[in-house]
Amino acid sequence: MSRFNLFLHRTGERLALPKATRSLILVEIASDLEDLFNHYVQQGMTEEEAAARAEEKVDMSDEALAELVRVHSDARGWTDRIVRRVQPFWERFAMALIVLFFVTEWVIGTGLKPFAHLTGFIWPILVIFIALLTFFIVQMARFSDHPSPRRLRDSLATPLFLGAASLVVGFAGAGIELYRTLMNMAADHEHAAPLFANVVLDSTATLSVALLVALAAGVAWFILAGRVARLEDDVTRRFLEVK
Amino acid sequence: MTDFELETQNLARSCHEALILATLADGPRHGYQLALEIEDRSGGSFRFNHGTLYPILHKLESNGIIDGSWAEPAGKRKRRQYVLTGAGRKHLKRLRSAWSAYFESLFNVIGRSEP
Repeated sequence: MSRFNLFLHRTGERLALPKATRSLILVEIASDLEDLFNHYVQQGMTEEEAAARAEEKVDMSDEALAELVRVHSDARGWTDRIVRRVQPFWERFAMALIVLFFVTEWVIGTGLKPFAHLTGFIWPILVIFIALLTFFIVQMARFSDHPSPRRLRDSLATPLFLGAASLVVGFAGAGIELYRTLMNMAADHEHAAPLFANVVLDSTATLSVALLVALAAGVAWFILAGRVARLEDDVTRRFLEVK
Repeated sequence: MTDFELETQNLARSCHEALILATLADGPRHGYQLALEIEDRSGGSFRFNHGTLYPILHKLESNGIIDGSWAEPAGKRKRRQYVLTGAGRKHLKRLRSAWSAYFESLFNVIGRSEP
């Protein structure tokens, strides 16, 4: 591989991708370079000619490199950046403090009263929370079983989906409850004010629980994504070790 | 007409995809094998630069059309090998049909060459 080190180094510098992804692409290119080199040598070229021809054949235009970066950035580029950038201990600590602040503020600020003012939409939110908790526990248990990083990464969308579902149920529920109450208010002008106050109280209580579940989903995603990223880095490091 | 039409602006890309998938339909291949085999089978008409090949292969893989895996035969170098998936076979079928319809339409306009 040393024959093509300079070429690979130059190509790597032009690939604006996370280190693990970039390394795997470079290993693939290196492998093809060697195969092409051997092919051209077998065709009768000198080693210098074969190396130059192989590099020419594998050389990537700026457009091709940009396309390759786009392919690998589409699905996970931004998530990788978030997870990998928040790796140092103090950054993770700061993030945990922010989450803790919100939860504490919610508990102390509301005195847990929201649980006394909930609409029926709390039940699907509760189901979502249980699903999230189960998923998180199962996924964390899988890390000790030498899992495939790819499978784990594929399942990373689940907590985000559950968080989004919680928000959708929360907001849709508030909208439906508000509509129902407005209908009742139109029919009963005398009690309009207390009816309105109650629906606002109940809906915001349900919505705040939905937001809390979404926050929990975000935290679950962050922890799992961080572990998957570290696992991928480990796998890549082991893979790139020269035997 | 077929249920899958080629976009005129993406003909080159679609052609590359069809060439790669048709070659992979015969079995798993490494990147360099794909390029050389396509060049060989087309009598040199389609010369594939590897630089063009990687983005297409990786895009097809991220779309589930092909599957890439690392093979490391004992005592040999690590190599990335690609294989057609079930979705890839269906996609190839649609591409074949679309390209046939495309050439039929083209020849209807420009006519075929005299024997």
